[in-house]
Amino acid sequence: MKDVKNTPLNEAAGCLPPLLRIAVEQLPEKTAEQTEELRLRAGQPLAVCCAGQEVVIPDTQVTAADLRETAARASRDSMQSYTDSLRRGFLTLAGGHRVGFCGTAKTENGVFDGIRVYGSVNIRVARPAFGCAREVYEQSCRSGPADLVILSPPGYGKTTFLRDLIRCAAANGVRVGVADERGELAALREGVPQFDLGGPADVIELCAKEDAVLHLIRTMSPRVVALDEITSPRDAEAVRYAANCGVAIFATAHACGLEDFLRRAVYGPVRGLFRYAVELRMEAGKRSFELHCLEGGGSC
Amino acid sequence: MLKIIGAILIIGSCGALGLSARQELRRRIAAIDGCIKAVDRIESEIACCQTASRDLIDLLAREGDEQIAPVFRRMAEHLDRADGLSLGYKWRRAIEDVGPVCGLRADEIGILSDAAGFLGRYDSEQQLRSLRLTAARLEGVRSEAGEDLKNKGNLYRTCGLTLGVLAVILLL
Repeated sequence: MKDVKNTPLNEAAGCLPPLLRIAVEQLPEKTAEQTEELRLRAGQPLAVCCAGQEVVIPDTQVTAADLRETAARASRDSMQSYTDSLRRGFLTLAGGHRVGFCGTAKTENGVFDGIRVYGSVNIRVARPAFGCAREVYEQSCRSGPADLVILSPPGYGKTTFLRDLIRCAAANGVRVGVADERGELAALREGVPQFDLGGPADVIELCAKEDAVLHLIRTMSPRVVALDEITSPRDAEAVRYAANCGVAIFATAHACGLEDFLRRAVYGPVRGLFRYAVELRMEAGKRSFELHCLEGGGSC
Repeated sequence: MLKIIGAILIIGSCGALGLSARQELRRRIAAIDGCIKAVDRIESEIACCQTASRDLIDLLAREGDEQIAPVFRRMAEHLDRADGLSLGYKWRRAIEDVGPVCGLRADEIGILSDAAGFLGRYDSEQQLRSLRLTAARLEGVRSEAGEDLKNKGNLYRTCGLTLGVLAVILLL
């Protein structure tokens, strides 16, 4: 019998029912190392996501009961304790792994109130990438933290990059306030960040960005406010508010590149605020980045 | 003199048999009452504090009704083992193993085992609805057990004493 290593993938697979967990534990080492997500869909085989590609694990079959069991295990058999998180459609596991749910939605007065019947589950495996943003930090924040936005389509590692940027700032003694609306940056569990944020970072999670930014500035007096995914005019307003309060902003935004970012209307109010933009790229499963100076224009 | 002492002993022991059968019925009622209290406590904890299932079980093992606290103590022991088995399985196992020792019978064991299907596995509202149903089912069983005590309890006691008297008459 194969020895089970204590890897991030096996840690994330800990919430799966026994048969599916064993199937994940027996994946070839190379596949296991590259696995970014575990995809469970009722009536279909279990699939793993490696470098954006879904690979089916043969001889596995996911049932609706497996999805319910996964949700129960992910909540440590205490779904009642994660009501707020489940209303947003996800749970955070120890280690920062993220379990997202899809299926038949439950609504209250026409407002989304979580998932009633699970149809699919996505487990995102959290892997720390220490040092991936060091070069960017050193180039852009030589004379102190600067306003910076990280751009890429979903799944390219914006959040991971932002987290490392926070670590870099923290390592330089900069106090960072983290507005973690979806609980992805710090993944607090019992108040303890499941991701290493490097020390002097204060986190407020599961709260709208505009409220979170206001609260952080009032209560924690950060030098930098970090927030993930500017997706709505209200998020853009939160960024503007923070910038007007004299704190530096580290943010991420969905865009296929700098041009796309400059073109999209939702980013209009914040376009002029950022001094730097980091464009993340992925080619053949390999990630790279390019740093743009927005004040002078062109690449740094 | 010896005959009188023997007769008293026979009648006494037969009467005790009847009384112990009656006592079993009382014990069952007390156990069901304990279960209803436990369900009420779970309901309040989930509704007010969204208490985690593990904490709930510890709470009931520590502060719950003494008659059925051993069931929750056994559950807590099972949960201490990191063996990958689900809460539902451990819940059922503990109730089936320790429930009869605490005075529970098949009906109430079945009702409590059914709770394993929803406890900790659905959101608060769904769990609360199911807990209310569980409490109502337990109340039903409780009133049946009460009827049993009223009808059969007196019968067992009278039968015990009558059996003793009969045995004495036959022996004399």
